[in-house]
Amino acid sequence: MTPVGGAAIIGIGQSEFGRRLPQTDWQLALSAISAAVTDAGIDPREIDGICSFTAPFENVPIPAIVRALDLPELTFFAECPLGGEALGAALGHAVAAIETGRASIVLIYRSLSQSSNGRFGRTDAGIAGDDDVDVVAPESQNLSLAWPHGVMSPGHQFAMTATRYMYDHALTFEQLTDALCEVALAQRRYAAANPNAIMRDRPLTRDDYFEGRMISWPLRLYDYCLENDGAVALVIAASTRSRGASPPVRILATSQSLTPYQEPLGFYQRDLGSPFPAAVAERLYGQAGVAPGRVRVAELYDACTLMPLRSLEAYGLAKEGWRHVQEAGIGPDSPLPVNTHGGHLSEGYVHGMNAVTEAVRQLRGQAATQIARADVALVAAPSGSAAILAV
Amino acid sequence: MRILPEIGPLTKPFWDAARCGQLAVQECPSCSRLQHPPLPVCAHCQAAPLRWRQLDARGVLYAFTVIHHATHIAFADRVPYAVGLVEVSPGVRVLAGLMAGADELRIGMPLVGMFRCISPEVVLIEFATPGSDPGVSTDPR
Repeated sequence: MTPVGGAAIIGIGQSEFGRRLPQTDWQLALSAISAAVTDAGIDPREIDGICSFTAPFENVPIPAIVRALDLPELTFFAECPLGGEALGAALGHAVAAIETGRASIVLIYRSLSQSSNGRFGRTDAGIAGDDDVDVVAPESQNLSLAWPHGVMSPGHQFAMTATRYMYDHALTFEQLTDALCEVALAQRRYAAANPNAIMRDRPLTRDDYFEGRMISWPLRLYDYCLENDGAVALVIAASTRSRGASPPVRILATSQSLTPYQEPLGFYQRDLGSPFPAAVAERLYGQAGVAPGRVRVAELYDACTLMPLRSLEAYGLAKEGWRHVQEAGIGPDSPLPVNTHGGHLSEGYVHGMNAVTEAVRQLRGQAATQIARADVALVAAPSGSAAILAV
Repeated sequence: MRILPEIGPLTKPFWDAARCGQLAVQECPSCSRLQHPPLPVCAHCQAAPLRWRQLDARGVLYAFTVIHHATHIAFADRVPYAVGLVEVSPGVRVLAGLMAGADELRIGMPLVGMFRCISPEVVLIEFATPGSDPGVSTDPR
């Protein structure tokens, strides 16, 4: 394996994950950053680069971090748009900054306080009014063509994608939901072993899953991820800069991808059934110099249970995701364990970034459910935003 | 409380047509391709300005969902309601309400457009299975 450069994740940190935490998103970010800096064994003032998600996804601006850490100077800072797209982009920017000498230690952070800044699954927060006042859906981003029909949440788009997935794979509602149930149950079992998981004490049975209320047909309550507060931070540097107790985790490859209408609530993409061009996975594995079969553990972005099925297919890990999760499974003893922390469904939702921290723990041998011989990990979103990490 | 569209310069011809019980989408004056949602230029050949073409309000169901859990209080008394993407010309899709339940809806099924008035200025296109009575409903909700 030839890494693209010497860039590695040398530190990871996270805040508490939970609902309605008393801390602000700024406090949560700083708590995760403090943990990551300690883990990396660096002085926070050595940070000279920062990469974050853009607002309105990330509500803690980069200058607020620079101020709170009293950083001498950032020589590189960048923001990555479009939510789930940002995971691979943020890592990619950090690697590029280090390789080109723009910065030597890059911090990536993602902090959410959905209890104070609004939940992605509720549309009222920003636009609620009193009963007598109409809401006007802006023309921008085609919201005026969607909101008046009651199409307002990413969850609605996931459900439409699910009906398209059923059509493309010629699945009945029962066949699809049996597969989705497997994902929900397997991830909840991982969460039961994970002390950081919000749902660690909430076992889920097949009956519970099927009794879950319908949210947006064919997706039920337990098909959707958690909405919560929490933050994650990563420290990226040349692997030689690592002074922490844990080995650096090399970033072998990163990817991002954008095609027309692929953005959140885009709806009008040419093929709703195809998450991203096939060339994305080819680029990713080509850059990493590994074949899909070499991946030992996969942390797959899961705003809903359908997403891991699609990512298993699109990243070349299974021919038919819906069949794979039922026949091979995704548990700790399966050929390819997936979302070993419980994922967004059961650990917590930190926009793909807690998938990165879990991949790092797996590669370091520090995971709550440790997968044997985990030396290559894929972290990937169904948008084509991904990274391959290795020790 | 209703959720009304901002009728801005880009989408005004679409809403004007809907108010007359018609479906209109952008057409390129140079390459004649149709596109929706509207853009400032033709996405294929970059020609501008674009003209508007009236289409038969008929299409084929491309994807759908039936929303059981309202994500906005304005829809709390509407659930469950079906919405979907309807292909009205090859590659051209319209997001719209669907007048049918999950067990009646099949991707690929033909649908006919209906127009529902939700305010004096706003008429929404919705689709129903053929045989339903098309026309302009003037029932403000």
